[in-house]
Amino acid sequence: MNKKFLKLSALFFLSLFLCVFPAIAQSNKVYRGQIMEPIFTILNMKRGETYADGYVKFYNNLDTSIPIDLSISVSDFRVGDDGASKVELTDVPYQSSLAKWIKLSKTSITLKQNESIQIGFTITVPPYAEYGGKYASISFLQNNRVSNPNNQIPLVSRIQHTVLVNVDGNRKEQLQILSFTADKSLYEDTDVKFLTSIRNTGNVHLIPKGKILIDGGLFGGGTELEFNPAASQSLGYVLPDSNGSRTYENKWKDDGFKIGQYKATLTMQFGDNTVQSVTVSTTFWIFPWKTVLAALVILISLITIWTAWSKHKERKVLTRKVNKRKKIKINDDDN
Amino acid sequence: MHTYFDVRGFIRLLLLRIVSTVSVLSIIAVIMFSKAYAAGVSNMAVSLSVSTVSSLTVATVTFNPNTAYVNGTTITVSWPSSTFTGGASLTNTDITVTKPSDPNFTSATSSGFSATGFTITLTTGGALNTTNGFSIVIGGSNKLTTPASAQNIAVSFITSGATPDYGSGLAYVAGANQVTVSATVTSSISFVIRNAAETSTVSTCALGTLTTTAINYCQYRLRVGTNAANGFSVSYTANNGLQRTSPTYTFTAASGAVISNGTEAYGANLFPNSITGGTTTAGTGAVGCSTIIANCNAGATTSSANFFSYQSASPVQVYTGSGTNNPTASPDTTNTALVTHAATPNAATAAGSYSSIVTYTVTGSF
Repeated sequence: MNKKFLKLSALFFLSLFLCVFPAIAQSNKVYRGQIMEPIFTILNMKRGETYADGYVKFYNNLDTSIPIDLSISVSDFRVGDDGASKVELTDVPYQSSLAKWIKLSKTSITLKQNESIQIGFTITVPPYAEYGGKYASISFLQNNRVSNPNNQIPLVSRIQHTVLVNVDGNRKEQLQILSFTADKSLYEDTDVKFLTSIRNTGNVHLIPKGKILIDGGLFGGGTELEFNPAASQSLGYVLPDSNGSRTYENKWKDDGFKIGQYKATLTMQFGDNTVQSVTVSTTFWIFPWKTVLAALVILISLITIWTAWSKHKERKVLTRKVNKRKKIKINDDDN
Repeated sequence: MHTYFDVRGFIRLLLLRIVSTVSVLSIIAVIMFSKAYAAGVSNMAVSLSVSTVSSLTVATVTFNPNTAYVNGTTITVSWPSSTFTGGASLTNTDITVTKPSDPNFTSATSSGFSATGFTITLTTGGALNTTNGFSIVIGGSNKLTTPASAQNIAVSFITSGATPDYGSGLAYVAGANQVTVSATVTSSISFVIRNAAETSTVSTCALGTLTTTAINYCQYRLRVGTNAANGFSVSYTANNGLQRTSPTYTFTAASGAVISNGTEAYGANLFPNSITGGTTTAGTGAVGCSTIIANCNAGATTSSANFFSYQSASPVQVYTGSGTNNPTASPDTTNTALVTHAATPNAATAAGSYSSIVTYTVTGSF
């Protein structure tokens, strides 16, 4: 009886472990969904040249067993107002058009759960191509739709691979700093945000880099910030757009005591042919009024206490002198 | 019978045997005893103070002797030609020979400098021990110069005497002995639409049956992961508003104000939440939301704030991350953006089935 009970208990706990353990393992899994890599293809090409090694890998890492249907397409794009997001301009003539030069190895695929595929592509630059930057996106659009979406909102996902090509020749490297400002003119503490708006008036995409030097203040103690830190990973491009611009953000946070007027100077470099340098500066104030107020209150309190104490001491001395005179007078009277 | 004994022949034979035996023994002796018992030393190493190409360097040779060196023993240090340069310019003062903790070691004098080596003469107070190691530092005011290309240079020495010690060690210039293990991690981006609890993948947002007495809403999360230093952007496209196709009827779009039950409106908002390697922003315009999450959730049934028109046919940027994002194990309701759709009809809203296809486009920021 006992043996049977033990066997049954062991079987029960084993079943429980087998059921629970995969659940624990599953709960620790970092879930990623649909994965695409690499994100970018960035090339310098010549007129008449063909690049045949382009590829994008796509993984179906969704937690559903329903296969995904993907439609793959190429489209041109131009940058949005922030200089980094993209607005598609399919079939619209555009001086930076690249889509028509890209040929995909596949335009539709079905991927089962945990399957992956590598899509190849070639880029052929025509001999008559205009020099400068050319841009396109390769999109992986999930086609699965709900067949009868009554009072439902079908959600569709699309992941884009970005292709930036520079057609060598007649290279115009021109960046213009439209503005370099702190987001406020007066700060209570050192939590300053610098916004730098840059326009590319040339014909090739460029990565600006440089330093923001901050100095000034009553007690000094500035610092140096790296401008466009993504440049170290060959990112942070400004694409040519005579009307648009890209805004870069830098933050200065410091827990130390800062007060007074500060000056931030941006020295920006850019250019592959010839390195060009531009310097601009802006000023701002830091006034930690709460700290200053607290310090003033303490100071005034100390001065008041000190004054009161001095007066008290003075009065005591005076009283002593008066008492002494009185004593002398009494003695004189007695005599 | 008279036996003839050839005395001459016997003597000749005897002499021949003696000569041949002596010859064989001599040869064996020569082989055995004339060759010195030269021995390779242990623990020999050569190090360079600077190991880059075409650089002035100080070479340090260390070894433990195998035999007891006596006074006057010489140590000849050498290296191949076309390796180090500057050997001929070295002087005695550029060479430092030490043998720490050996009381019999007195001094050493270096001479015979050439392009490929020099000789050290030891002065000792007796036989040196074999337990304490030698250190020969080559380079003082004059130094050797490393070659112009990466090489492994064999620095050798041999001592004088009947039983010389010898040894050789390698000096590594410009990492010629190193194997560089390199790898490139490619840029990667991932995207999935999850339910509000971030526990499962969803492909629809169901508003259910709409009535004038309530605001119906549905929610989901956008989970974007990337190692791109500049982050990502997510844009939104809708094929139309919340629409009935036959006959066509489209809900009134919300305008960024409060939606109240019974007043026809359809809208959405997005709370960008956080990312692990930067900051997030919600787009303005067609889609947007206060940074106060309570305003982004359609929790109230009678009115909800900050619902915007959601009917853009061209992509509108609704959500960006300034850096990398690596959401943790599911559910992660911190590093995922929350989207809410809400709708309420009025008494005149046409009955029927309504829908709107929403497409999210995810792009790495360049």
